[in-house]
Amino acid sequence: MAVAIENFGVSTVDVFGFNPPVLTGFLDQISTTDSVTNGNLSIFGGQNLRSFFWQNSVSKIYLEVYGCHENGGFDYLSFNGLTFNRTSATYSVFYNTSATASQEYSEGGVWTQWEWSRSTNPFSTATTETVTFYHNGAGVPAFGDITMNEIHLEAGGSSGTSVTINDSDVRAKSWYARVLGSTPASGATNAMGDYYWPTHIPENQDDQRRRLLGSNSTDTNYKIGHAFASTLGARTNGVFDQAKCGMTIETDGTDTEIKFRLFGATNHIGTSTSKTITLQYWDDTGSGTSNAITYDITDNAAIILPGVRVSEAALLTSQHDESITTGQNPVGSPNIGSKTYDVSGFGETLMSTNSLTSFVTLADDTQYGRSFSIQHTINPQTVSNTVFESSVTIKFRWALRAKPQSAGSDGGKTYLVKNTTLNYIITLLVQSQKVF
Amino acid sequence: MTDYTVEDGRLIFTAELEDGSAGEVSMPVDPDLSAEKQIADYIDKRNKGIREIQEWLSQ
Repeated sequence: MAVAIENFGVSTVDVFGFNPPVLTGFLDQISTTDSVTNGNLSIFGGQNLRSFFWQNSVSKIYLEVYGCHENGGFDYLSFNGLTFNRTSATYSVFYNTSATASQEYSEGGVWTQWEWSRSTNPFSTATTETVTFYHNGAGVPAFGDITMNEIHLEAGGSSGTSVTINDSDVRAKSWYARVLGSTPASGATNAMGDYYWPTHIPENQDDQRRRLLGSNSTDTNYKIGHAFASTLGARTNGVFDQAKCGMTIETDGTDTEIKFRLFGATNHIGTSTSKTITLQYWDDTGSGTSNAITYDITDNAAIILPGVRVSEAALLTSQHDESITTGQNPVGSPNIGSKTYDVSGFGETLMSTNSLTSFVTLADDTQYGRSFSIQHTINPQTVSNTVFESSVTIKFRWALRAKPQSAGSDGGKTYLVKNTTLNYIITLLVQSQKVF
Repeated sequence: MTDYTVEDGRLIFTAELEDGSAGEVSMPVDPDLSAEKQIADYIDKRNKGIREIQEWLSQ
């Protein structure tokens, strides 16, 4: 028995007024606001419907929701007697720098899309259609009121028969069993909210910084931040330049923020012709490297999850296009360039296991993460009059889980684990030169 | 040609479309088509749909 999770209503008339219809449904880019009802979707963390339409020329139905979401949360949707399974859909997460609130869309940032093939208009002749999301479970809702009888049905029991929350088949349906893979022990504390159908964590579109969506890890068009430190033309003694970055996650018990961190340092003895530290970031309305924004330590949230206390996080990082100056300083000293990876660089608790599946339990008001730096040290002996340069690109991938909230609230949030979900790139660059 | 991977019966690749949008796409593998053909068909249809909407919007 499938369970209806949520529904929304859309207009079925042709968006451009053609008859026979060529494009029916709702597009935020085009449609009026009364073309959709209940478009604020709880199963996607309260984020809005971006579109739901059929296009004749390509024989496709598109479902789009603002934000970056797992390919999950529902098993199929149904309307007008038709059923469209999630697993048979083409699933995508897209980003468009021109898709901003000021350019016909009501929200900017990323969106998630499901696409199905359909050669004929799927809508009825009614002017509006109710589209319903279902999951294939037996009884539990995704939010709102939840009963022991619904939980019992989910566990395979019969309606109206005796059940306790300590039954082993019931405990096997808790969030801890489904998401964490750890079924609560007999006698352990259980909450009704642990038995919601898992849904998606919400995010605040306004605070998103640039995220990597594709697999091209070196695509600088998607980098979130850039740290650059340079000392050129130093005329006397030693030179030290450092570029450092990191990402951290912290919850205050109510909201959760993922922040990026940038730092640069230049130091030398004597005079130099130029010292430069550039710390920049790009937000979701930027366009490539031309619209960089000066980094401010007080405004460095990459993403905010409002009303969500993330309970566990995992972090996978990788280095790309690494180029570290390896030339020897004179008199046997270390290389001019060096790197310091996988450390606590900004006071955060180090997430020491580099994995997307090894989760760290987060305590409130504590930062967790990982940092990286590259640096140059030129000793005060003779080196060639050359601009030494080192650089590296760091890719950060986050996976998050949020424990269920109390029953009766908008609880039961699940996890984000897909590689495309929360990916960021930061580049580091240092330059150094000593002139004689 | 776009790089792709196949994981759990799904074809995964990065698509860049004519309206400036880019993203990662995951679709069920069609055993009757090569991966290259599936990717090309997907991008062609998406671009066709985007062009059509933009043309109607401009009228």
